[in-house]
Amino acid sequence: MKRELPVAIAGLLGVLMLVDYFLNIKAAKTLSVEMQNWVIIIAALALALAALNLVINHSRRISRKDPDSLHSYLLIISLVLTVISGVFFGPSHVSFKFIFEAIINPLASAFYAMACFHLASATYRAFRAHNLQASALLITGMLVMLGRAPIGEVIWSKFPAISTWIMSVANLAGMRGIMISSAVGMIGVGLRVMVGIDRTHLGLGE
Amino acid sequence: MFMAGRVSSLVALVVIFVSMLWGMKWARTRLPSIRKIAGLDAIEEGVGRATEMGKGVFFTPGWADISGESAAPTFAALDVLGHVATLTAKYGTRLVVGVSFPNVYPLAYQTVQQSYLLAGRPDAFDPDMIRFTSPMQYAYAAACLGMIQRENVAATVLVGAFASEAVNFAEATVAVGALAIAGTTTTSQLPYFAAACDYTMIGEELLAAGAYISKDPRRLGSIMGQDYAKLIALAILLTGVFLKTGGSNVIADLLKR
Repeated sequence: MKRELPVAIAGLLGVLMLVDYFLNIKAAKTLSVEMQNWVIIIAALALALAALNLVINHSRRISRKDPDSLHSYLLIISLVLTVISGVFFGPSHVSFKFIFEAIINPLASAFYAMACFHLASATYRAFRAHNLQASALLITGMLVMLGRAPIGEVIWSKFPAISTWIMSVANLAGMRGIMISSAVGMIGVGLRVMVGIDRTHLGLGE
Repeated sequence: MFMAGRVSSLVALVVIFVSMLWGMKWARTRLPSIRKIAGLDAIEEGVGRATEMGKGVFFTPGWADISGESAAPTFAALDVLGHVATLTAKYGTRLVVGVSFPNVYPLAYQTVQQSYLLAGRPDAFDPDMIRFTSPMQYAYAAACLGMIQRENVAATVLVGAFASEAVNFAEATVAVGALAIAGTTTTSQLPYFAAACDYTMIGEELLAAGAYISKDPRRLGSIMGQDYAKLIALAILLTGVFLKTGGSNVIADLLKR
């Protein structure tokens, strides 16, 4: 029963969602909306559990006096301040908005900017002509970069057209092939989870 | 009775399901084989490397929930997590799992716990292995980057659905000298993983991970059935291309129904 019940629930709800998506049945729509509301409630419980794990994990680091426990202090203080601000003053209050607009958003932007340097580093290591495929990657990469950068058009007026062809024909064809096979694969995973063939995520093993 | 514009999708779903069922039935008589997937084979290499070096393994199932189009890669990532956890339990290697969405946290927890139990090492399971970070993208990315850098890992397994943090993870792995094994269905992030990681699983290679690792006949059979469904899709695609070139919109109109 412990093994079959979660699989049966997942399968039934999966079928309900499919019926609601493909068929125009009012009862299915009503049930589907209700189930989605329940999912939101369960997700809130999962968030509470996960937040508890976060606090326990970092509290242990503080009590063990780990070398990096300063980060744990900062995390717990930030968590408490944000919760107090949100619960007692509401999300429209200036304090809550300050946390997002003055702290979280600038930090996120700074982190996103790091991607530029990481990308340059990855490109530097990847663009090496040590075999045929790597050489093809190097040449194609150079053509696309020259086509996208303004200086490329200054050097030769045809670079942008070549770059556009590579991205909109060759690259797009490859990406669409991957997308189609991934889409079929995703349907396969969904059906296997619904039918109960894939059960690793339930901790049921093989 | 049918929702407008979804009949062709329903037909496609039924065709895929029937071909999967046929594949599973066929697999009862003869076990299908999947070609070698280097990324999945490298996981044991990575865990072995970490064990020899006395370091740990970092795993993340991506910045994705178990709903929407990222559900399938997340479930596939949990299959891979089960395999990684089984190996780390067997070899006594430290494992750190960084989880982004709260819904994924209990599934990852249960997957790792069950893997350690089945490997005969329930005593080695530590709840602190699985760490919830944040559903906010860059908070999750910063937390995982910190784990890669501070936890002294020798291998990282980055599988699931990712956004722009993919390149950050890959480069952080390179910076600490760890082996990077990645896999995603997100086409926009595949080039970054392919450029920066040692092994990359592209699209369906990740989704077939559960079948590849378990060698379960039903799963292998369903993968085989999916491949035949893809052949049918290819046939329809080519027919549509030729008909459209000839001036007929029959296939295009049928697919819009």
